[in-house]
Amino acid sequence: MSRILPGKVIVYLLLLYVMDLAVVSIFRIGEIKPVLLYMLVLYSAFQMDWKTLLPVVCIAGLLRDLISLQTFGIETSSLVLGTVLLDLLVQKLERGIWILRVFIAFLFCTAVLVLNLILSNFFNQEPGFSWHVLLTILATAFYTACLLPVFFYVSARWFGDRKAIKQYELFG
Amino acid sequence: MRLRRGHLLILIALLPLYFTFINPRIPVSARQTVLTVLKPFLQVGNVVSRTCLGTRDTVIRFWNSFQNQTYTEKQIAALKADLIYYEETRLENQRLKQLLQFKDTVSGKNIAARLLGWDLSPWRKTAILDKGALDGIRKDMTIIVPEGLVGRVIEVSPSTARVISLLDSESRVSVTAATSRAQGVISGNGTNSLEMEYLNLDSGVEVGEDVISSGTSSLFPKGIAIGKIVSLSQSNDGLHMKADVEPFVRFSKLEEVLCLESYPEK
Repeated sequence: MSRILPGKVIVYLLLLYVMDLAVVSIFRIGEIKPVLLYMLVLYSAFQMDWKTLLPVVCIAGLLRDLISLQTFGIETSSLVLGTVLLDLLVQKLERGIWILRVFIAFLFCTAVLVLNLILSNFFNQEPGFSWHVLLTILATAFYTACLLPVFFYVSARWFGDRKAIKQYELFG
Repeated sequence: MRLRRGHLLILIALLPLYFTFINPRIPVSARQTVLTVLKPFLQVGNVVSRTCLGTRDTVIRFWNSFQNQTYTEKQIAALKADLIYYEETRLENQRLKQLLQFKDTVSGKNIAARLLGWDLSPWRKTAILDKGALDGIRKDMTIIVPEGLVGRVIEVSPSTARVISLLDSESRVSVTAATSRAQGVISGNGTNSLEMEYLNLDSGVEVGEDVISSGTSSLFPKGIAIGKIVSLSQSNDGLHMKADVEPFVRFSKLEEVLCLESYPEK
């Protein structure tokens, strides 16, 4: 892990940011699409140390805030608060079990999106609370969580993390 | 270590939250700058996205076509069958119109009938009609088509009738050569041509003359077209002439006929 250059992480983060904006729509199912930056945060939480996780979360949040039309800081706040929950879960639970990873990913994504919704509504912004919005959040979280194994495999290749690849192959 | 880590995380979480609550006004130009910087990357991303979507659509279309192949083939076969049926109907309509026009020119009672089939025996040339006694068909009724004489009814059942055609070897019709007025008897020989017999040696009959029914036998009305003389020769006994006659009616293509009770004699 120590072999990973921060530059590699930044390039990957920017690449995922652009993909989130322009490419990820090809994986869209109805109105639901996965969030790649959340997956990177999850990958960092599971596969990297927390010193790498923190800048990743902050930069990812800031990048999302920069492009978002919401009040500046909502994306970062919700992402960082979600990461606190994620870190707690990763510390408490057995991180090697894939089904648990997916479940944690689902909880993390749901938490981040719900926090985002709460903060958005707190500042009197759309979309408001409704069943449709809640279902969209749950579906997005579920979809993102389901794609996690694939993302982990690709990310492990990107970072040259052989251990992660082998782990993926074991559970794949 | 874990405590410090937890504190740090909460601190980092509170920092953006604080900024959010003080609601800093990020100038619109900052967002625009970010977008300007991102634009080339987004364009590349967009190209990738469109390419992927295009490929996906192509694959989906191909798969759908593949899935629909059997259905389409069945549909084509059904449409082809329909086409044949419609063509048949068109031709039938044409024939019936022709028959109807002919029927209008024929006075007296007449009944249109459809040919159901021919005798199974290869040497007999009798046909079965789809109309019988219940429809008004009676024995010895004359059967004609616009082209000319077909034959007569020899057997009637309640719903069908059997017709002996001119081609049958047992068929005999008294005829007259249209120009020379030479009298004779025409008979079938089991083939698609007719034989005109008992022509006088000095009858003056010529090749190419039309042959019509003479009406002398009372079975057939006078003046119905039968055929054209194609060749002349002497009979075996040398006492008469005989002629090969090509019938006007194309018996192999008969489908609808008219059964006559009376015919306007010419």
